[in-house]
Amino acid sequence: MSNVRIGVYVCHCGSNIAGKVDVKAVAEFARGLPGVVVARDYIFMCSEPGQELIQNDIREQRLNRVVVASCSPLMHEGTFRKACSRVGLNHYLMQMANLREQCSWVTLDGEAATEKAKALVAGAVGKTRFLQPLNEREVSVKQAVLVVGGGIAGIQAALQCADAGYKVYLVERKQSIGGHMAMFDKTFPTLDCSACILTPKMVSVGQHPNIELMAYSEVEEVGGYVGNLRVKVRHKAAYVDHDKCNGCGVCLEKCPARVPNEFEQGRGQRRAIYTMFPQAVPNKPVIDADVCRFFTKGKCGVCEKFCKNGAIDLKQQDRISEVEVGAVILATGHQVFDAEKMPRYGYGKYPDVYSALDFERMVNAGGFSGGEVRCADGRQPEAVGLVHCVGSRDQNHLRYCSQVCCMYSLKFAHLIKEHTGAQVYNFYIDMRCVGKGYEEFYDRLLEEGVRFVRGKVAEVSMHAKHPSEEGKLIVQVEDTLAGVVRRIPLDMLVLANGLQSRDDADSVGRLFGVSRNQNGFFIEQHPKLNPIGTPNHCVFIAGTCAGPKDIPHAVAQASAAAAGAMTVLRQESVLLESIAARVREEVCSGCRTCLDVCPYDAVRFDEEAGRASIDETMCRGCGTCVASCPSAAIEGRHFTDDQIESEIEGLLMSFADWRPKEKEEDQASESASVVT
Amino acid sequence: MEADVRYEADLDPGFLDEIASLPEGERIRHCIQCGNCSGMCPVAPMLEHSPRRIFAMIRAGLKDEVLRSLTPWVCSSCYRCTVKCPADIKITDIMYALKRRAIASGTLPEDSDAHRFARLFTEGVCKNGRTHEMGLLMRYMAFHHPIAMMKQSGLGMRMMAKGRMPLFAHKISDRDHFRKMVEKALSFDEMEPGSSEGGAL
Amino acid sequence: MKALYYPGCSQKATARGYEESLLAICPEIGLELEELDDWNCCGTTTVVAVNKVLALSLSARNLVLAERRGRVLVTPCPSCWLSLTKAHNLLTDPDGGELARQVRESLAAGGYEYKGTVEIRHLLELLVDEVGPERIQQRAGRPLAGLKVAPYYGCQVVRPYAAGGDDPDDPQHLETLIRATGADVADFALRSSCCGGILVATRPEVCYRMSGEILDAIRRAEANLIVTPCNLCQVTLETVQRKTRKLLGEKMRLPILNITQLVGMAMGIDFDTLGIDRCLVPKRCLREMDKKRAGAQAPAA
Repeated sequence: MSNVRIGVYVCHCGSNIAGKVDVKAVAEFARGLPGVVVARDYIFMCSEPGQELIQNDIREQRLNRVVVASCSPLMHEGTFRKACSRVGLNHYLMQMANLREQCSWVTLDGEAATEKAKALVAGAVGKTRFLQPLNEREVSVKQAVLVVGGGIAGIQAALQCADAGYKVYLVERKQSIGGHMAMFDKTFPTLDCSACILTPKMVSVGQHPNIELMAYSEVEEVGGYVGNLRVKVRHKAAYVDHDKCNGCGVCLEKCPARVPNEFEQGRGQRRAIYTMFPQAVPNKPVIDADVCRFFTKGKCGVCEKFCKNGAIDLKQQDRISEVEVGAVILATGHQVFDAEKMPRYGYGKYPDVYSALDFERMVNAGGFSGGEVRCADGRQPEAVGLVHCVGSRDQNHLRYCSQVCCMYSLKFAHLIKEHTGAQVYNFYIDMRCVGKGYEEFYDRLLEEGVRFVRGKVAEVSMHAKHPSEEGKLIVQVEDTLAGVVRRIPLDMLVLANGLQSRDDADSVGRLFGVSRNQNGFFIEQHPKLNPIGTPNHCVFIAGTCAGPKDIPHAVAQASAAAAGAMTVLRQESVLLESIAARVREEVCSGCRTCLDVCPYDAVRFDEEAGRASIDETMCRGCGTCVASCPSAAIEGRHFTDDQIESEIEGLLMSFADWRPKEKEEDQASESASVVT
Repeated sequence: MEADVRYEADLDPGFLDEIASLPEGERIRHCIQCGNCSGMCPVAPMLEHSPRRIFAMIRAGLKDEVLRSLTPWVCSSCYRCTVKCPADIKITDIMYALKRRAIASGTLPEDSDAHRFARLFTEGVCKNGRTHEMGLLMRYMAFHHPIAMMKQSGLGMRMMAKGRMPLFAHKISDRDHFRKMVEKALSFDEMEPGSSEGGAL
Repeated sequence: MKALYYPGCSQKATARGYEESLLAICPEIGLELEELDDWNCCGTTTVVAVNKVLALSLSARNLVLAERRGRVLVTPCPSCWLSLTKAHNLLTDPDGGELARQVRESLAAGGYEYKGTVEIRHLLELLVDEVGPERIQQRAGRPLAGLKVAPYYGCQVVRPYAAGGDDPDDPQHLETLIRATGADVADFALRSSCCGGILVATRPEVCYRMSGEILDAIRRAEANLIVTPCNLCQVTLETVQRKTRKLLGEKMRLPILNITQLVGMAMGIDFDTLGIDRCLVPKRCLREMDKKRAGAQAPAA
């Protein structure tokens, strides 16, 4: 170790770090650490002059190790690695200490922060002394994109990539693409017909030579490595051979089994063999085996008899296929909040309380009532209420604003006025109309005479307390601006259900290595500067799976995600991290423990030699095998025992003669526990 | 017309902090003024200030008006607002905190003597260990509402006839230890001192 | 099952019938109660308005006494149940803070210490969960067929905590027990609305209005009687019912029973033993109610 020459660079990050941590003291402390030949502090180490500072020292002071004490490596590891490489220092000899997210940002106590910063720097210096240069491997990138989810975001991303000439696999769980947008009647604030603007895009997807549409399918397994993902897709048995089916629709008329139609929110009926809606893409039916008489009772087969093309295949099984892609775009969408979780709003109890999707289908000319806005008993409503924030902005349910409900409620208000001339009440907490043309739309609705009551609806009942309330749905609400409690009798109530993450978002996230925030939505690489990327460099997110948003924002995000995916593909090759496990074959006893624990299927076993080895392209350097190997035969490169022990030693050393202040014992021991 | 402008200098900007620092007040700053509480409140229609408005007034620093408000004293502790509050504010418990503050500081509503009832009730419990409904009602009604008491005498007689109004108070036996506990508890006073009606019982 | 019994002050006075009926049905349903020796007032909501530490200490002393004698503590009074539960929650909360410390210190001044082992249960959940409607049904047959009973929960047995994990938005414990007796349930909207009982002395006009609305809803549901698990609700509704001619323009004279009285009635125990005679409605109203069920049973007999 005698030839180790370390430079330590403590960043102020403006006042982000220097506002709490005494950066001068940390640099001074670093100068006394073994192997350190130079230690400096600077206001923005990531800036050009900051990087030059490091580069000059590498050249002039002949540094062979660098420690940068600044922010999270997620932010700037790349920056400093490149700075080192440019002056000929292998970038694996650069180590970061996180003085911001793990230190200055998480305490109010400047003194404790400074002590912790010293410990983190000492740990990083300790590790650095044992670092070894490593070389990255270059691998080619598969020239195809997988898009998961066929709502508007998935459609947009798929078309964008396909039009640019890339092969796209679009996987959609349902038998047609279109997602939630296919259910909508009009779109705010322009009142474009949703189907009119969506179906051309759906048709393009279906006909695009570069898009392989996998409807009625789900991603089952994801393997491989950066730029080379192997994806297994399960094609669910449709019991209809879609190559033979010409979509004539005879089977749909002849099928005797009827069940509530999910697309119509359970209000209309469909057959056991069905397409989701007339403009479906692909427009080929599937058989719902849960209700089909052939499957439930063992006899029927009417569809089979009437199909002239012999397309019905009641023996069809699920099929698995495998595709190889260089990048993935997740556009798995959202689900709407279940209003039955708020029993006081009467959804599911009173027939004239509708969810937002119920109403979209009601007001849609192709929907269950043929576009007639009518009460359950057929009456035309004279007074209709729109309840905003159903589930949203509520600590008991969804803690966030769902962002679209104010606007779609305004749209509903307009449509109700247009269809029925009824009196319309909007019950809102705050009107949030922040988009192009949105405020103007609100203004238009005010002009149209829609009533606005500021207050969260407390309850909905049919318990009349006044003769005018008999037989009506009664909304009880405080009109917070007038300062009075009002009871408003209505004929119909439409709830503005919030948007939430899908129940299976967790398993989808795990499949692709994408984590979720506290509300269940996928987390972006950076909330401002990389809202479509994820820590997994070839996986992108778009649309409502990343958070509630309206159609224009979902489309914009999808285009951005497509650009991200195409950037990965266009580079044609990627460098693989060298941080991987390595089996020292002379020590391996052949017990196979590592084979079982590896989450990435990266361990290979040579039966003849009785030894394990690691496929470095697959290994992500997680270290699970290293820790589990009973003979300590596996070494985690860049995380060797020497390196880790020296890092721990450094961390603890700085605390050896540090004592918490007497009077602030509680506070100090708290910050000490953060370190341990 | 009287000008209804509130000068910032006349308000108490620390009042919100004061309430927020109590265990029941920890989430009061999260109020979004949605009015859910008032809409659910069975007594709100009979109040000058709805619960939501009380929170707005606390935020504005209208301390005196809040403490002199009837709202906490008419709150029937039904907890409807609390269980459905979208901001998870312990509204009912805050109403109690306001009552304690009003009693302790002597800043009481003019047309209510509910605080006297609370004090009589508490005094009785401290003395005997148990509540004596008849004694409590007699003392409260006789002193404060003699006419109403006359009107209610029929009900009282009927309750007595049905054996539901024992004449004598029951006292717990271990009053020695009980008193020590009570005295210690009364020594903890989160309230500000120095009011005519404040202080220990 | 065996349990310690915390009656609460009203059980010895205005709610005597509640206690009498509870003690009467205990042997029938296999419940062995031991009254907590030297218990004191729980402090209820009223003391909280004066001094919170005192209110919690009052409840906590009862928990200390209970801890010395056993584990399960049952009370029929929703307000006592809530007060005791709040004290227990505070003293078993690792983040109880300054308030918990003050309550512990007050307890210590009286030589008391609460370890936190008592399981507090409301009688209603015990009847449903431990005794079970099957057992009541088995013992009772369907003797109350023909009666239409309005289940009135009040507040504190469902809010802020719902006893025994009942659904606070759509509680079912009372309905379960009513059906077990063979009676019909009268569905009405205000099952867990507040009767305003704690305002009856200080703001009677507010209380009358609140209870009046509830009674009106029950009248519209055409119930023959009202049953409640709350002693304060029982006496409040009885009091306000006497004013229904003025409040609703129509005189109501429904028997208002505690849940244990209904169960006891189903078991064939006489009105006197069950304290039903202590109801404020005229005796003939009770007889009418009784006749309704006998009448319904006559054809079968």
